[in-house]
Amino acid sequence: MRLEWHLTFGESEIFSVTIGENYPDFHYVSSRLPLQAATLIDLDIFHLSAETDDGILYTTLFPELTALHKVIRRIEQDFSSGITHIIPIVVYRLGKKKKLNYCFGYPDEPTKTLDRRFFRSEYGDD
Amino acid sequence: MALATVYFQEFNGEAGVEVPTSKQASPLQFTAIDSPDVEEVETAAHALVSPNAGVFRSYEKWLRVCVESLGDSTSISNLEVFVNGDTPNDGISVWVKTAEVYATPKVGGYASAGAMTAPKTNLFATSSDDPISLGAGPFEAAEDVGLYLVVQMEVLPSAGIGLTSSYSLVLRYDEE
Repeated sequence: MRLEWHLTFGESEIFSVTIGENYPDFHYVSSRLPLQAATLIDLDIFHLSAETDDGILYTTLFPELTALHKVIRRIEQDFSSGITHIIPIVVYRLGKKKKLNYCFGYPDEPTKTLDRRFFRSEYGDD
Repeated sequence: MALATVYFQEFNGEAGVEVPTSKQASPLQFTAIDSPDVEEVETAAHALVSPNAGVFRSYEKWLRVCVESLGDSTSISNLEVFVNGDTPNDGISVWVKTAEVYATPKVGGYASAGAMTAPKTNLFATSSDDPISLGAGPFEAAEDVGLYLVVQMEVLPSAGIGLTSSYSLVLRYDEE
């Protein structure tokens, strides 16, 4: 006899990272975000943010340090059409309330994507 | 007569140490991580991205049919899969291919290196009249059977923000 079994798929969340196109005039901001998401204290989760004078443009959570590289790739792609100035990125390790001082920037070359030579961290270059 | 118990398992991890997870009672969710877990909306740490340009891809999902029990039957055969009439959300596509041997899932993301390798087809272009074969069999033991089914979601800039629709992947087979 012929039978069928059904697997439900999809129901996948999609979010937006619209920095370059929506905010073409952003520029360097030296201030840092306060520690957020207190409910995540004690969890081994990192918080990454990019910000401008207009406020937070990009924020995400990711669970492990190695994922930082993946997040940066996303930002590289999304900044490629609109970047004009240096972009600060701050990563907090929630739970330890320690700012890891991740940051990277980009010179005034709007046609290029972020260059990882500008990525610096206490763990060394990417 | 007790029928066979047949369903998909999802495999994750590096090839050689891959881990199966039953999808008998759990949906298949595309995420930006190699995990069978279903993440909650708005708290998902590995949601997909609607890109400003180009394509963003999920991790590949590797599935294989598990015959948990044959019941009173002696075999199952003619494994086929298809999507029966569902249409994807705007800016969403799902690619599919089969494989004889498990390989570490492609990582997705923006780079083409994370994309499923060809040949591959559009999952939503399949139908009950034009299914994908996972093997004719007959399969006469309670074990993982047939080809792997590999799927990967692609997100275009036109995709809406939020949760994609729920679709149904049909596994069709003959049981004797």
